[in-house]
Amino acid sequence: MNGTLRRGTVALSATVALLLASACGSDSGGSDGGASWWHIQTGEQALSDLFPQLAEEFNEANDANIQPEPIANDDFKPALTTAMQAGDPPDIFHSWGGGVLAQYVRAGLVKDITDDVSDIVQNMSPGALAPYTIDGRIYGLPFDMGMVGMWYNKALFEEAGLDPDNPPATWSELLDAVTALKEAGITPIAIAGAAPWTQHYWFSYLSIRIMGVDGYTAAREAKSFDDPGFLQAAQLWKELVDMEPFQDGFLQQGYGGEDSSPAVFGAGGAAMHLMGQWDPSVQESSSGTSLGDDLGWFPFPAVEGGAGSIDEVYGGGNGHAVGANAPDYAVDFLVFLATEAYDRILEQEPSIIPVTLDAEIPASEVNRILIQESVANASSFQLYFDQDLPPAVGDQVNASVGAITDGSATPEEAVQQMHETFQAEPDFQVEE
Amino acid sequence: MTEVNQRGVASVPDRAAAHRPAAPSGGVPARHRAGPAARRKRRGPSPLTILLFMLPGLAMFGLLVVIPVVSAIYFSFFKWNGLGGPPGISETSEWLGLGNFARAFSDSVFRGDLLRGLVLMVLSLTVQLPFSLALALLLHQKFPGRTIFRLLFFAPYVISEVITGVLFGVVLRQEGGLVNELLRSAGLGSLVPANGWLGTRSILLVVAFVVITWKYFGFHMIIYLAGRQNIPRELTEAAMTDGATPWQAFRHVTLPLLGPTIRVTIFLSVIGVIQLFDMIFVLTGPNYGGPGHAAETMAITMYRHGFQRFEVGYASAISVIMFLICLVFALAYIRFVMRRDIEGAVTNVGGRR
Repeated sequence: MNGTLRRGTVALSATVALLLASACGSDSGGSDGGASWWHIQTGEQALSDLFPQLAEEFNEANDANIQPEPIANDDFKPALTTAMQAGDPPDIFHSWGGGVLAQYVRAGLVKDITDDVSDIVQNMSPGALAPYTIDGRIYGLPFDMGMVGMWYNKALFEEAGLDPDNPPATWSELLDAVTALKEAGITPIAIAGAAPWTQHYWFSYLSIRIMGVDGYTAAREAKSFDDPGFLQAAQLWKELVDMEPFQDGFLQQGYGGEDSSPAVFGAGGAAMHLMGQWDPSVQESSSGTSLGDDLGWFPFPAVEGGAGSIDEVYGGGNGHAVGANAPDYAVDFLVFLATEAYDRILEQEPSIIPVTLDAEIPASEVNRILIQESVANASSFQLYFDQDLPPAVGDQVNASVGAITDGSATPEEAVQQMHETFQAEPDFQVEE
Repeated sequence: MTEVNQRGVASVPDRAAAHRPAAPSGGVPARHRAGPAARRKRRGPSPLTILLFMLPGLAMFGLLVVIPVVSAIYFSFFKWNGLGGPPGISETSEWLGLGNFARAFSDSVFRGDLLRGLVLMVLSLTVQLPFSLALALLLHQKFPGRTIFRLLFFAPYVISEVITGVLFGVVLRQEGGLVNELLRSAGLGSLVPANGWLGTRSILLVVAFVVITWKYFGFHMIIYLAGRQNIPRELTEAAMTDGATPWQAFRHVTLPLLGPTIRVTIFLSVIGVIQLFDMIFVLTGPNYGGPGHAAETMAITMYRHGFQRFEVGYASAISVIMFLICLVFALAYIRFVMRRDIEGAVTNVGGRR
């Protein structure tokens, strides 16, 4: 029986051993084995081929030793968490910026590169750079900049008697469109019910349409969700959920893969899909087909009487940050990626939106140009809530919005949960 | 010359041992020749030797079990995001005392975890184990193809929990999933839940239980089968000869003799439920236990707080609570329920006989 008892102990200690490892981890930043480069471009074939080439060229030209390590998105997050908790950050690592990066910065794990990049950031979209700017200093460089918007199926719109060239611009128009689509027997909206982060896009967009980005920023500074705007956003979302506009069985479908919301939308099974700039490639890989010219895009509609406007943009990009113990050439490599190599990245025509002010997208890519213009002309820019807020609060926002969607919480309860989690968030001040 | 001398000298105790088996002797041949009495009287190895041989084991146990447990207990007293060195030194840590534990027991999600664990335990003990027992007794009978059935029923246990999760994710798909397609082709399409088997809060825990049962019934069945085969046929035959009905023979002969086996499976089952993680985690994807926490377990809550929310202190507190629940249950169960079964196998507390 000792054996079975030990099973219990072993399972537990395996967990704790991880924590222990984190406590004992040593700083071993790239002094001997080169500089590790953790990137997550595993889905985009063009980039996963190009990135190692770029590293090799840079290594030869500069007598450096950059070692690319591609990691799948879902594996990357816990891997980075573990490395960071061990006090041993990778030398160059993928980052979305925001509150998660800020947490690492405040723990002294990320290199301040402000002085090294002051020239090249002049040619960068300020909105793209903002998530990597923490307390006025720059801690990373973006290579992609995008936003969340409504992908829609023009053919299905037409079938329901809606004008595909004149998509909904206000919330009530959107609700009307949902009704019309339902009456025509078309699923109005595809959503990943099992992946609450996809639903939080709806809630966050409604919040900034109602309160404006300024209103949200003020609430974040006050560590509070008690602004009535959040409750109204939750109620509007609940109202939409109650119209039952989603595909059959949406609550067990995630994002990406055969049985998922992009697969449903990509195969023409639903009329709208609120998602980021990368979605078309996921639609194609998940559904195995392409909507082609039927695929359209419009910005999230305005809410009547809201303080926010339709040209306020919600989204984020992809970029890299440098670990605190990285060799100096790691920063040079980041600069190389953002300058000489950047044109070659864009030549591959990946589904990314350029961050440099002078870059151009081929005219055939109508939707990408639409997104790029929306980002460029944005009156203000808001990073994803779940990256912008401290990790615990961001996760609670996702969980609470998910609870409204599956009916396990009322809008009041959901916003209250977010508020309580934010209030409980510690305010550690770390001396540099 | 010295060699010969040495050999000659060495042979003396050998011969002596052969003549006087009871005498203490150190020679290897003597040990073989000597009876059990000699072995018992032989002087045992010194405490130092014992310690030396135990050292590797002790070191591993200390390193892999004691230190992690102790550090988890230490972490659980802090609010700590896991960064900047151990709590207390890290600038992003704050002493909370028992605050994390108070938080866990006032958190509706964690309290729900406990309740869901209890439901799964009750279901396991009242449905899964009796089902496995019935199958084991059935497969104990002689009939053609018996081995094939035993093999088939045991097969799910060999598959890893993660693969089971992925497998049932596909089987339970809303469109094109095996279960729904079978139901629809049998004209029972109305039984398909509108939100899917894995998306309906009210049934998700039961669905998860069915998957757990699918995976583990074969394991319990094999244990029962082994236990059943150890019961001599004469006992049942004697009972039947004395006029017992088959049910009476089962109730008063087979079942009592299976007692130790049943008690072991109950123990394994309960401990398994307390630690349940992988399968639910895979089944419910990025939703951590499904809509409305419908199938969330303690281990999933711990993972979410530790790895997603950077609340390492709170996650450690949950792990400590899990550990204590396991420990208290295991000790109490072994002490009170399995006492008779393990008499002599485990050191008796206080040398009691």
